[in-house]
Amino acid sequence: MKKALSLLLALLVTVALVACGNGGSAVSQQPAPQEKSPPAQGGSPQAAPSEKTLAQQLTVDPNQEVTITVMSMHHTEQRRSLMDQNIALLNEKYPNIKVEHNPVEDYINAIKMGFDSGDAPDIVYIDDTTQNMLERYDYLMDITDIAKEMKWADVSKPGSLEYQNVRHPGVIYSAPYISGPRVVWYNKEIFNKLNLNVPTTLDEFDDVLAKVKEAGYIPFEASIRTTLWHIDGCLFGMVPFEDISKWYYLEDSTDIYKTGRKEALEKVAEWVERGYFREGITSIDHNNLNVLFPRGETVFYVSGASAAGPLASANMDVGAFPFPKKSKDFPTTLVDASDSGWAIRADLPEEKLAAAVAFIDSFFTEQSARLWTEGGFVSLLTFDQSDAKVTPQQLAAIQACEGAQMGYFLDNAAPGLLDAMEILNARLHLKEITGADYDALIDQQYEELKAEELSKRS
Amino acid sequence: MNRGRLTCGVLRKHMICYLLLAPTLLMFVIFVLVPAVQTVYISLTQWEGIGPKTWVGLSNYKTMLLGNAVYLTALRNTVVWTLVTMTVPVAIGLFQANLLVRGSLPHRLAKLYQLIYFLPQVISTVVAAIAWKFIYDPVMGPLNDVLRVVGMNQYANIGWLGNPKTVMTALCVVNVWIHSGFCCVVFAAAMQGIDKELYDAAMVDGATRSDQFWRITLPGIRESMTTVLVLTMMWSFKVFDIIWTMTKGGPGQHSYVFAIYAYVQGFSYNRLGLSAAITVSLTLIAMVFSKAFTTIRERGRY
Repeated sequence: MKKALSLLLALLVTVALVACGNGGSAVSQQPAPQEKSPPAQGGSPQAAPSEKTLAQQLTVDPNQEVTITVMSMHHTEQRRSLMDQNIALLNEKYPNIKVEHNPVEDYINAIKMGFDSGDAPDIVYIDDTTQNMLERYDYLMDITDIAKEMKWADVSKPGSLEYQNVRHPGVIYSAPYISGPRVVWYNKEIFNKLNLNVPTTLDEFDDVLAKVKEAGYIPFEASIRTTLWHIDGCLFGMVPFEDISKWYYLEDSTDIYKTGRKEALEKVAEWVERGYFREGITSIDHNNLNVLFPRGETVFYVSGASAAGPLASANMDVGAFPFPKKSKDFPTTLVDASDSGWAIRADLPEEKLAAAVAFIDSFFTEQSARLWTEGGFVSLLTFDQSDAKVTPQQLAAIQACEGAQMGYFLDNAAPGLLDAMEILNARLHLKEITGADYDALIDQQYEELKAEELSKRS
Repeated sequence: MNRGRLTCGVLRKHMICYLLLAPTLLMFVIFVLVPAVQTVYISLTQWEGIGPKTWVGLSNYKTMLLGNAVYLTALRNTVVWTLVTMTVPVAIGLFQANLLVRGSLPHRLAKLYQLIYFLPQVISTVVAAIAWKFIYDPVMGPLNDVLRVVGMNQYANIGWLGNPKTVMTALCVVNVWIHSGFCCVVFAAAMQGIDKELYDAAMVDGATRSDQFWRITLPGIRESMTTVLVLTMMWSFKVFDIIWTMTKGGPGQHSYVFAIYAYVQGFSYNRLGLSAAITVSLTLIAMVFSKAFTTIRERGRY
């Protein structure tokens, strides 16, 4: 009996190990997870090696029913509703295209799992870091030529398409259509009561914060996650964009950047020390901020322009301004990466290509731009939206973004940095570390993650 | 002589038993054994959850064990969590069960209490965690309001889940609330199976209630006790849902346990190899604890 059982167990373990072995590479011989043709030169769609011209390939056959699967992070009620309406716009033009939209909260892991298991959706909505990872394994279609053919750049704000794809200069893998700029919301009622002016420099901001604190209000409504944007905001207001870009793209930490980051972290540490954040901030649930801010105890709230919706629902009288900078003549840069971009899987069947492109194209229309603007987002398209029906809160956010350039969510520089920064933020607010400690620790984490990321790329 | 040996005759004789066991064995192999072996394999590779795996030998284990303060924090928190959530719900459950079975409550009322105690076990853990997160909320939660009303103002401004000194206790309270009902129901069922004549005889001999509890009740529910302790120990070691929903391991890393550490490394840092190594170490520690516990119990029996 024992022998038989031992043999059975050995057999099972062998089978299991062989099964595991299939997943290996270097050592392992894992095949590229999805069978596909090699990347085509010049950015032609890889799934369409036919003799048709690109324009022909992208023409939707109205007589052919096509179902395309889409995965996105549009899982909140607000986003889901806008997606449904956008799909309805697509179906007005192409009733034969059926879109199966799967909105997922933990979408990065869902996307990874989908691609790795060979069950990826046809279209995914991805940020630049995830795009970089998927592209590394040739999972994404090079849509440079498609973007040109569909003239997406012509209707987008200058540089926004390139900005989303800047980790791969000259090549487009995904197309963004909305952005998520972080602005400083302020309670107008308190502002008027205290006779305050909107600050544009960090020194002015410090003066206003001191007055607000003295008057017995809480200066900042924030959670540990949103305090990241205070740090990012300070950095963009102190360090030239080129130096931040080098750091973000894992090229170099320049001395200017390092000095600026230290100053930015010390500035936020100073605000913590002065009690400018709500007591017990480490216990504040990020999802409650849109409820806490309208209670009228807090004056400032650094958040996305999309907070306009909840603030309008709370009927709150608010204004918004870009995060202050070190001097008035320093360029205004908002923490404002594109929300994400639409990408197509590399091995999309040829018969689905036209429908997939039509789906993405439906986000590059005037109607769609208005839909998303009215829904509370900042459109990356150039269509005139002066007649869009927006709330005063939305209008405040849009005006705060005017003339500002797009920055990055710095925690997105490498996988894991967000988690590392959140932990350090919590430790800073618990006064376990100082701004200088934070600076040293984040530098250490960054170098570690950078080395890891670069080794993966190589 | 042939006792315990698998012969054709024995196989034929018990064929129906083996056939009935086969689906379970197959499920075990597919859903437990193969993933377990895969996890061990992944722990020896570098993998970001997508694309090929690269063999790195014991490198992930070295990273995990050598000078890794986070691993030690997770280990400490996991052990504390296990000790507290293994003992407190059992003690409370035992106390409740003894009151319900050996107390003078009417039968129907006792059943009703059992149902009430068991209710938290029925609720989804994530739902319970969300509800408790709201209760603990420093601004909107009712706990601090109640403390203010009863005059305990010095405690009413505490952010229970955001304070390193209170976070683990606050989380343990939730776990105790969820699991003590389960312990109570199991112990109550076991106590009802103890022969009443033993208690009558003890009373005749002049045994007090306390003597009866220690000399009749406890030995009488020994088997159930072992089962409950082993189960709560296993649940405690692998805890994830409550802590992830309520604190995500924070503030900072003050409520990091193994499962959180493994998840974060695997799905935030894309270090699936290291994540698997942490999981393997958790399994080994749980196995050692479980084996030690059952060995001690077995020794005590004879």
